Amino acid sequence: MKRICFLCVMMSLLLFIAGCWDQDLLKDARLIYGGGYDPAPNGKLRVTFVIRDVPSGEQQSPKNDIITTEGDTPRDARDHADDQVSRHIRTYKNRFILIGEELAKQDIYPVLEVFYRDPKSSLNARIGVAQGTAEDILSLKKVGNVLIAEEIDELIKSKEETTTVPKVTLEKIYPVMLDPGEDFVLPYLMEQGARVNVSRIAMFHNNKFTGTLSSEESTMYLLLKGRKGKVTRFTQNMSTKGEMSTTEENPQIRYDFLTFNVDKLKQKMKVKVQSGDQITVHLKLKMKVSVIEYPKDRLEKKQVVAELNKDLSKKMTDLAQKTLDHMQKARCDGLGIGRQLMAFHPRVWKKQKEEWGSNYQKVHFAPVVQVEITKQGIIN
Amino acid sequence: MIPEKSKITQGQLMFFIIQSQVGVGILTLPHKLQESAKGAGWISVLIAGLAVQVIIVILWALCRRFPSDTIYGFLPKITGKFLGNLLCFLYIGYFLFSAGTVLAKFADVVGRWVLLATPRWALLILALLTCMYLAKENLRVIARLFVISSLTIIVMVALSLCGYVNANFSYIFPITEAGWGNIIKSANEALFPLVGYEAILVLYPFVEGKSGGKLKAASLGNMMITLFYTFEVFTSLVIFSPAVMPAVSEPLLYMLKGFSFQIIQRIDLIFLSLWVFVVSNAMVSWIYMATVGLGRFFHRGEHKKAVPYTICILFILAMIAQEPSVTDFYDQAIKVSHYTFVVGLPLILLCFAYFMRKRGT
Amino acid sequence: MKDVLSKFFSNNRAEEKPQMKISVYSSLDQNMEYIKNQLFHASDLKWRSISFNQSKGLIVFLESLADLQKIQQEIIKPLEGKSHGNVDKVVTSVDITKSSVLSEVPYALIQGNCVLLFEGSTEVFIVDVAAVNIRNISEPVNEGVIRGAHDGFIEHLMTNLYLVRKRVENPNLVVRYYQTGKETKTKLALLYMQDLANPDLIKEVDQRIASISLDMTLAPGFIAEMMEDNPSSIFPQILLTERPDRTAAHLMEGRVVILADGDPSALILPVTFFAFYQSPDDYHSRWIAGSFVRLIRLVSFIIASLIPALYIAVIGFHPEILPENLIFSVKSSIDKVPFPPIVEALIMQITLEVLREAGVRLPSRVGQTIGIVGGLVIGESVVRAGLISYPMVIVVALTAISSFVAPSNEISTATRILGFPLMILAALFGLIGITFGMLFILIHLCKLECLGTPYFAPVMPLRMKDMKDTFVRFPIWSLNQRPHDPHPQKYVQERNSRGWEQDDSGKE
Repeated sequence: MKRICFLCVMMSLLLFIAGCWDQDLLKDARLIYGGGYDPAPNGKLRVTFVIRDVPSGEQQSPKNDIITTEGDTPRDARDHADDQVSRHIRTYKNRFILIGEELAKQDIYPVLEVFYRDPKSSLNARIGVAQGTAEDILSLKKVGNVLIAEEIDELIKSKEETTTVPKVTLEKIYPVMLDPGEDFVLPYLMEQGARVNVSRIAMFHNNKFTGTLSSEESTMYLLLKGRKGKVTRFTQNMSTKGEMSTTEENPQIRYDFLTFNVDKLKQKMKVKVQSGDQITVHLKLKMKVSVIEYPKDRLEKKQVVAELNKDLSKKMTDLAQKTLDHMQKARCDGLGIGRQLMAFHPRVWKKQKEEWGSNYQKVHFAPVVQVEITKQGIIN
Repeated sequence: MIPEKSKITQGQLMFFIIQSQVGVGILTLPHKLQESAKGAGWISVLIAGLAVQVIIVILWALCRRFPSDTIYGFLPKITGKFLGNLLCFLYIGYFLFSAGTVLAKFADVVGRWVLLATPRWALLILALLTCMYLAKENLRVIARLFVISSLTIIVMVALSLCGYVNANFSYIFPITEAGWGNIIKSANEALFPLVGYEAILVLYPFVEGKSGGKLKAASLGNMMITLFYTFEVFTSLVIFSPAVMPAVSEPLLYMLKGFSFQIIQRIDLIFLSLWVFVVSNAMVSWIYMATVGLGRFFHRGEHKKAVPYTICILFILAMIAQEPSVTDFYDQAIKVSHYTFVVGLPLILLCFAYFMRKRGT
Repeated sequence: MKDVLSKFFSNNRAEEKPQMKISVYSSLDQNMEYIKNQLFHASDLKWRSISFNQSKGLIVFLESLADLQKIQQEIIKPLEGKSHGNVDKVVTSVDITKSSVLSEVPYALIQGNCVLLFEGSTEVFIVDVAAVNIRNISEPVNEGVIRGAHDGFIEHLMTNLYLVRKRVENPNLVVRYYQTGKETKTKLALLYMQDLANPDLIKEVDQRIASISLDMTLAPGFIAEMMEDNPSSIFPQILLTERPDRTAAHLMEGRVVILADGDPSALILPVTFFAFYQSPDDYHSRWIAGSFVRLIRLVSFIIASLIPALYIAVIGFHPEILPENLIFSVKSSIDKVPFPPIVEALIMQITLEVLREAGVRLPSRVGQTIGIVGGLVIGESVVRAGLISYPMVIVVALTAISSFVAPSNEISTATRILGFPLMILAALFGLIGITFGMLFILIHLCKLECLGTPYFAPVMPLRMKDMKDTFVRFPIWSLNQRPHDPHPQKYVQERNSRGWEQDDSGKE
């Protein structure tokens, strides 16, 4: 008995020596750091890969290698790229995906589907929409002293912290993509001079790109959704009509501007359905802010602070309304109104879900923003 | 009769039940429940847990009448020698089949997520050799290991908690979207990942203490697992929207895949590696139940001699199950045999034993 | 398989020659002839003639074993002084016996006794005059502590017993002698506390010692292998120590200690896995500091066995686990290496073992030079040449250092050896392989039992009370009960030592 066991074990050991089947050696891999997708004629895709190489030899800085190929689908294009690249291309360290504007206007789910199916893919890669073509942005190769791939990745990361762009990764938008009750938004990258600028949000409806929000509106949208980053700054012109601070000696109008940072945010959203299936959304934002820049000073006077609060509240409410109008025009249900209907008013949703795009435009938004200045820095 | 060496405490019984129950089913459970019960899948799990509790009470009542016999011992006593032995063999077959199914499913999941190119037989040999090493030992040693492996469940709960950063609770509303009928029907679906509690049929005489304590231990184990499953199903439901769930077969793993801590990424690999402990324990539990029976018939009561044969049978069972049609057949077979052998038959036996006033020593 | 191997290594015992008992002859010359023949006319066999009670006599002794001073002072002087009387009253030695069996005499001489033969008498006197050449009591080289006693066992059994008895001045401390090894007749002493140690345990140990039938017993390795339940396991089941304080502590927990003559190691059994990670240092420092150090030791076990395997699994199978910054710096180092990671790892581990073994055998003068060679050449140059990558060198260094943290040499070696199968499994199956390997080891630890004590207690079977001295060290005043694993007879070991605390607060 023991002999048989021993023989079995021996045989299996010998068989195992035959191979390590799943081995995926790190040194045989060329790692892709980012990818850009653009449309090509004949319905094909034009894909740009950025490969990050760390050349051997002591203390040499990494380099980026940029390859562009065409293919029917993303995976097809990647296989074509593999034809031109030594060793194996591996995408498990992919950091971002840039989708060109034109391609984003078509449904982006088929482009991203391969990332969801492959067990080795990197699901915490960031996505963005590029103004123009992704290839152009990626062909910059270097921005200042930083390689393009790192620049984009770290730029988006830092903008997430300043509440300018949403924190989206492939994983986070997957449930939203297939959900008819909510739309996602992505960061919008622009090329300015020889640098990349990330300050706006691209809006989507039914996985198609439908418009952008300006920088201020982007921040306001994120606040409306309750997603405040570490830092949230607004700069507003506080001058009232007729009263200008420019004088002969001081022709600047900078005296009128106030920059503040939102410290604490309380957000409430209520979806109410009135008779006739009129949907009203009440949004309440309570912000506690600290003043960062206000040359007019005199903040120790309570009256001044109260007035500023009132002004700021009005200005922020207007901004919120503008943002929501913009979103409605682009049919982007970024706040998930549809999901709220699905959960709490299923009958209304059943009636409205067919034409949710146009029904969404009929929703009435009533935002109310309350600003309260609590801190002022170290001077008054 | 039962050597002192093989006795386990009631605490160890509880952990044995826990480890028998948790298998591969938990990974795909939220996906299956979502299909039928929509947002109320977790309620189905609770209902299934209650049903299992009732079944445990039935099994316990049956075992209580024969406190020093395993099911292989008292079955012939109730139904006569020939029928009893036949039924014993059927039970052995059912246990082996369950073990084979668990093994096949495990090889499936690992083959799809981690080791894509490794041939199935290599993985099976590795798993089976490890299980054989443990199943040969007497019950006390097995129970000790099960107690320690239960730590991995705590780690899994901790990992799942990470997912709540992206939770969107509106995904489960409206709760009764599927209707109570469907919710209760899905409880049937949710029952099968909870299977494993029938270990009490074989373990009852080995546990020290009074019968009330044994019932308490088994019930406690079942309750903990039901809560654990409910938690996992709930987590998956609030993280993946209803539109996406049909596409995601193992929501827990998928959720962990997108995570990254500072030092490591791909937490799902870590999760799967810990998972190996739990699945191996479930398999050892089934193997033990089968080999106790086989040992009784063929090897004069020593279950360890039957283990190599069991391993070969399991290997064949798991190798066959590579096509989806065969896996589906296995699932169906398990469902039917579970209801017959674990619910139906003990109930009938209990009635028989009660009316014929058969009792063990 | 066993039958195949057993044909190569047969273990047939030689037939034992029946012992014949020969009585003492009356003639002195006949006795001397017999003795000389039995000792094959050994050149160190000496005799001195004396006269007592008006008869000629001989003092026979082996000059290599007998203390000539003792012979002179205790035997010759008194005998010369008093010319008649009873020999055993005149001789001032402590240990004097009469015997009429001549065949015992050679054995007595071999043990360092001297024999008094008288003409015409059929009785001989066997007097113990053994010379004692021992080294000084000094701290064991391999088991030093920062704070605590600095004495250690030496090769002389009596001195060792002295050291233990001095620490445990209790009549319950039982000492039993055994003689093992048919030809070498090594003396063993078995120590245990009569009121603490489990009587079944004592009986079992007694049985095992009695059944040792080797020609030569070389303590402690041979004895350990004879006594263990599972000598084929990697993990040691008997604790070997050269420190008397550790021995006394284990005695007081109800364990059994075996001391051998000719070797300074004490064998303590039965022990658990965690006993190998305890050091007297823990108990002399403050309890938080002691707990911290102990945790580090236990973590080092995991590091030393797992890290090479983890390296292979991550680099070879799942590089996506590493975060971006790390992966690129690791990649730049790895790109140059021509071998797959398993070969790298095996080469480095084996090199490390060779270095370590060489370090033990090196003469101290050459030691420094070779240390530099080992470090610089193997470390730096191998990487520069592109044969091994930097991360691999770091991994191997970490493994080596971690494995030496364990206070016991046997467990260090076990840890390093454990790394090899884990590495092979990692190379075949990646992380899943490592998990199966760890499961296998865990099962093995679960199964292991020595003399009724589960090896991995108090983790398996789980006893929360015993955990107070396992992963961390709780304060001494909270360790109220002895650990349960050797099944002692009494459990309470500490009763409210800090009772004065409440008194103090009352005074406020």
